Amino acid sequence: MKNLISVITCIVILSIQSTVYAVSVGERAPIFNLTTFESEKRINLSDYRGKVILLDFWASWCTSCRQAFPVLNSFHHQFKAKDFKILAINVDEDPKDGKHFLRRYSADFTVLSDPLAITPEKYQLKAMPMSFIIDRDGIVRKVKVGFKVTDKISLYRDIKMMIKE
Amino acid sequence: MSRYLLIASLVIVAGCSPVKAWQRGDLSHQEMQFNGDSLDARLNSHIYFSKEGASGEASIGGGGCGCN
Amino acid sequence: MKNKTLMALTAAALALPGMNQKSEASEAITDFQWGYQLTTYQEEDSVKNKTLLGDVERYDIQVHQLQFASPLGEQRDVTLNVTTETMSGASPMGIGRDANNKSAVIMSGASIDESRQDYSANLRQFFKSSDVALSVGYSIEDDYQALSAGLSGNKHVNNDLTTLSGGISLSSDGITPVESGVNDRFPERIDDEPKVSRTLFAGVSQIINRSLAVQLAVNVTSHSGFLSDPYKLRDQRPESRDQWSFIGKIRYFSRKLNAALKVDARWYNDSWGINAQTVDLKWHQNIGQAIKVIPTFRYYSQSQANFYYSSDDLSRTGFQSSDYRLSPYGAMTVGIKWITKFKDWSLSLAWENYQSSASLALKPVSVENPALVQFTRLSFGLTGKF
Repeated sequence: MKNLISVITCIVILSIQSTVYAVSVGERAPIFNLTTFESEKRINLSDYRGKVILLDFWASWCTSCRQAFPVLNSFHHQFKAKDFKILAINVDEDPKDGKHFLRRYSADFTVLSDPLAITPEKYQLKAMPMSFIIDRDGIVRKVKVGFKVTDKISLYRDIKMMIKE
Repeated sequence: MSRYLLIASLVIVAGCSPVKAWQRGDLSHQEMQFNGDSLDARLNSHIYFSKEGASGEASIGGGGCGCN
Repeated sequence: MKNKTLMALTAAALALPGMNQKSEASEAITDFQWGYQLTTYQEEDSVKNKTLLGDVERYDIQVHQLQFASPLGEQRDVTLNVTTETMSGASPMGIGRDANNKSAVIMSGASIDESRQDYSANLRQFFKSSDVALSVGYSIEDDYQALSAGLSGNKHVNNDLTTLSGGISLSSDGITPVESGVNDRFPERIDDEPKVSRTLFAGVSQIINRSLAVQLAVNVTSHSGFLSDPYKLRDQRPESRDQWSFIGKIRYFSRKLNAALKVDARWYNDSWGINAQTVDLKWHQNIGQAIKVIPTFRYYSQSQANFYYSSDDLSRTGFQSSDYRLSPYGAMTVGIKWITKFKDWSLSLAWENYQSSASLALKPVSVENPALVQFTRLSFGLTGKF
């Protein structure tokens, strides 16, 4: 009975709790320091100051994250010579799940591992996947919630525009 | 009295943290879904519908059958 | 104009904080998927000393199920299901009394061969935080046709922690028994009778924490028309039936064990006086990334319908039936399923055994219906993706 009461109370409390506000356009992108999957190399967001960055958060269990991979691969090859960098942060609690995923769906861009979910907390993600385009000055210029294949066009345009700036 | 209520609700809140978007890995497993529309689930509901007195699910079922 | 207003309202709603979200739960499928399952199950023979007349061999049933699902653009998908079911064997026609005054089954004399085809289509449309599905179905057998349509939907609220679901459906059926008519073996049998069923369901599911979710739902179904069994010796049922089901479900995932526990419970009652309780437990054990083993246990118990009699009496008038489905009993299913995944393919094998008896009922039963069914089912399934 006690359990039932607490479950019901939980439901009530959870349904009135306020909305999460993500890092939004115009804000400075929170910095982070994470390791890559392959080489355990440490990567700091500030290492890429002066470049346009597409920061993508993904997890092995998220189906539309998977949809984004081929698109990210093509952006990587199209723009890699042009001061552009993709950083994809995997938020699987067990990094093994992320690794297993990468064996099936190859990523040519840089993938970082964040099993402790430090960055999603910093960026206050609202959904999965979620991506941020950060300009040369480290300012968030675009926020994308979710992913659809047709988003490719607008993302392409945004990246191109920001590289030109 | 109200102080106890406040304490009690704080204790309860501590036990039910809201689940963030990136914390849904466990919940996203296929077996965690409420209405598995797998072939097995469809078949089972048809078999029980045709052999037992009770029927009714948390979804709309298909059409009936003679089932004699 | 109306459309524009709607768009403006939608846009305004989407601009509200908390609404502009996408969740895993509300996405159209992205690959073409297919599935096939072959099931064969045998009802155990009617026990000799409980059979008064007829063949003791009950139904052997084979079911082929085919499913195709395909995305239709990014926000829409469609699922098609085709099922064929073939049955052969004898079925209970009534309950009489043997020399010792014990109730015993009267089986249909000859073996019956029947087949049923079932076609259904389900179209889903997804929006930012909701989805709507339209479904149609058609089922046909020699003596029964059913045409059904339904509309259902889900709405995710509260940062996608809560989902509200609901739906309505309508089924229009026709019963045209074989061997009926003046010149046939059973001139008293009905020729062609209609039946209509309406279903309404509503539910709410809630994510409690990272590994626990619960759902509560209610289903109200009302049937009207010919609800009796035309093949029974004496079967006279009311022309309407209202059913209420209250459903509770729990989903729990254990990261430590890499397994999920599914609990489905149902409390049921209807206007015929039947109360029933069902508990269905499934343990989904993942073994590595490729194998799943799923032991299943289900318990079911029901009380009898108001007009149920433990044996038929040709002189009795008014509502009456000796159908085991309206008798008081309990049932237990145990089973195990094995699924192996290989890339985009999966193969499954399942075994299930169903036993029903008066002694399994929650409340004591004085006379057990001798026609209660027991069966073992075997299934083999394949699924794939493109």
